[in-house]
Amino acid sequence: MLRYLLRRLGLLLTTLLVLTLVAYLLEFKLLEDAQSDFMTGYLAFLQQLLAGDFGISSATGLPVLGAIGQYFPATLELCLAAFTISLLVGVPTGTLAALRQGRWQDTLILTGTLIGYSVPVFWLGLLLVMFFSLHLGWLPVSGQLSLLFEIEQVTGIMTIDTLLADSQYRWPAFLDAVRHLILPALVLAIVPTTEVIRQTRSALLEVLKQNYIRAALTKGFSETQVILRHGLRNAFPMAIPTLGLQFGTVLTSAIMTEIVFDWPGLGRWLVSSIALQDYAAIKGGTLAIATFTIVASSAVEVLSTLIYPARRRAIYVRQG
Amino acid sequence: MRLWLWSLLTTLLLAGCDGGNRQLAQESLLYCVEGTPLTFNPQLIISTETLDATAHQLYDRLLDITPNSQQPIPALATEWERSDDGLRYRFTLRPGVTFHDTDWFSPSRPLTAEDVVFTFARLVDPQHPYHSVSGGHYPFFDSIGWQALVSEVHALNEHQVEFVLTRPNVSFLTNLATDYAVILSAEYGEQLLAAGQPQRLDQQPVGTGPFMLNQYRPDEFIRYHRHPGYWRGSARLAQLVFDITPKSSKRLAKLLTGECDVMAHPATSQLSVIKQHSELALSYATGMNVAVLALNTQKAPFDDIRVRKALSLALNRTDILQAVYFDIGALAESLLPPVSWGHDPSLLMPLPDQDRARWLLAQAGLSEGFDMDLLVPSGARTYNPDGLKTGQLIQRRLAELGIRVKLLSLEEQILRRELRQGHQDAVLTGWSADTPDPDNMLRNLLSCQAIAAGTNASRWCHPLFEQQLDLALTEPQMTRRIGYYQQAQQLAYQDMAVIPLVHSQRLQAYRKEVQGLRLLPYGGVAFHQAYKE
Repeated sequence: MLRYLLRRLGLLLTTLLVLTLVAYLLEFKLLEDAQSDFMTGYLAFLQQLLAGDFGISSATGLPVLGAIGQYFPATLELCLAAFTISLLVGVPTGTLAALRQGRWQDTLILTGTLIGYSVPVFWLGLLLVMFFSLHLGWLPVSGQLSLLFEIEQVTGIMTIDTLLADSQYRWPAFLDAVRHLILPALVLAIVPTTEVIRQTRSALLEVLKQNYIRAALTKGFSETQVILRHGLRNAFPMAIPTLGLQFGTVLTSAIMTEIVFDWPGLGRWLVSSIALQDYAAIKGGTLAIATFTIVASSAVEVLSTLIYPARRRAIYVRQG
Repeated sequence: MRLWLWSLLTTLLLAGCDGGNRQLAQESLLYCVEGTPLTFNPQLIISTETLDATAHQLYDRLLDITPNSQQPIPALATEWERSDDGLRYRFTLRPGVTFHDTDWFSPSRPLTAEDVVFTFARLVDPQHPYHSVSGGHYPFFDSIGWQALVSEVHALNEHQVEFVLTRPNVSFLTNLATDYAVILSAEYGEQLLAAGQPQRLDQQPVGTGPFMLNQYRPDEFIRYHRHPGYWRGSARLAQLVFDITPKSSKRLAKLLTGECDVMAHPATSQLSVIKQHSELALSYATGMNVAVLALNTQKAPFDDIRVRKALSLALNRTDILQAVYFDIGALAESLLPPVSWGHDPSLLMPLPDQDRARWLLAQAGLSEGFDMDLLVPSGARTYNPDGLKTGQLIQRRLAELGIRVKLLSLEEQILRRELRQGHQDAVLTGWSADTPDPDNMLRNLLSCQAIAAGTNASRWCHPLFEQQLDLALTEPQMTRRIGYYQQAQQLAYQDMAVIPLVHSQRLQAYRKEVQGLRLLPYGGVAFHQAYKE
């Protein structure tokens, strides 16, 4: 087990190192800094990074790391909300599809996931805004919170900050934050939801073929009981690592979602930094997003290995 | 049971806006603007967004200008006197004007002559501790030659201040009333200097205006609170928020859902939508502005007047007025709009004539055409709602002459930097007047001094033109002044120093419950009197 963890950690560090190299190459090429040779420059760059120095933004004159700290929680809030939605919707739908395999419900759900997977995030976001905000007037067009409210940034996750705030408008502010979160989270949830549905479905189908399921059924347990106790519990370890890989896709769509909904997160900040030719910010933002993706997907994999003995066994087998 | 719970939750969510925060909404105003301010000190910059967010919200000037008679009226100065030789101006300050009491500064005294001296000495005196803080450039004051004009500013006593000029200048008072001539606090300046952080003077502002800065997040929002002791009477709004939303379609969407109360720069293409909604209203103001195509007259091939004339003949300005401005505006025949008293009605731009343009290019030895870069502003400007579209129309017309135009759409900050460096071929730019004085527009767009400031993007410098402007400034008699300005415009016209395109109208869209908005004649909005019904 320890060997496995060390190997994962080594892999993670190597990936991060390659990442810094790419980021540095970008700068090296752009600035054509002829004063120092490549290796010295790169080592100095690494040293700076380790000291937490991501440079100074040319647009605001403030440290890039501070900006990342300010924008990252908003992205995290959006991604977490989207993941929650996709699990809440995806698992039951995927289960239903598996149970009705080959029947019309299954076909319907699979067609739905294909459509959901192919719909451009940009377009869907605009469409939802047009319908729910402009036509029905139910939900706000954009932003994280109505600017009426003066909420102190503690965590940067608005739904938490509003509740922490020492304000007479705490409750309306919280509701307002939730209303702002609904549409972008829904849009962002679409792609991972389709993935959750497909993964749950195929994993469950695999599990349902197993003898212990048949045994449980012949024992006379109801179908629901069997699915919940034996089916899903065994299907999850298979589905979760692939879902961890979804972080990358989700972050990519998060950038677009943030732009459509003016969500004050990392993605929108990164894109506006590009428009302002703010190289320090571009570099820092790219590093932050990539690091988050890599760390998150590794963490999911490691966690699922730690939690599920079945997967651990699989590792030992592979290691031979 | 579950249905009941769901409907409760949905009602709560949907009703979130009308619940406990009604009073908050009533006392706050959300203003959706296009861009982020570059600084909080308007002395430092020429930028519509910056002026809009600072000049009339945070600060006051010694004088204001009446929109109708275009004459200076008292603001922080209650009265003023001019010496007989026109070289000395003496101002008496209003007593009991208070500065903002913020998290970063608590004033111990009201406005005195010291503050006025501090403010203006910074611009003129290179030895002043604040002169070089934030770059040492004061583009507006540089372009009107303020440093050469004002030799001294000194306090006579606590309430009187005197300006000494090097030569008589009739536009001096109107320049003091511009958005750039705001009064800062000397006490705050000293405090920051003692703390070793002078740059904060321009980032964490302290002024005397109706609102004070509370919170600013770049590219997100600016939150102002009302200044309780404002000398004109405290504002009716407790809170004013500038919501920075670069896309005009999004600003309109927010206006429709009530997430904005007032929207800056509605696109002319959106007017029909705004008119369809009964809850929205529009106000217009004739703009003292001009959009121009500035060709770099110091760079080949544009240093050849035949090439400039050819390009002016190739453009179809009527198309631009229709497609970009939706006919809300007027074709510009010279730099000054017809509402200006210095306008010369005898000047008329030639009608489009591709054949003659081709012939002129052939004369200049360029019948094969050439490549050029055209810089355009990426967002809407007061004088040009859509630089890119204007650029595309020009690109298409010039392509017929074999001129291959490459469009480069740049953010304001970057565009200003490029223009100061001055290596561009051509740029779509313009000017919104800060004062009714023709000097403001002509000097900023075409004077030799304005080249370094980057506002004279054609980099055209003509001694006779300069002379006319200078003569006009010392001439007290109106008919003669008009004569000088007309002569100056004719010089610019003959040399095709710049190609005027369109004078646009200023527009503001707002929700009908908002009352008391004042669209300022020279840009920006005043919210001091605004309230919600």
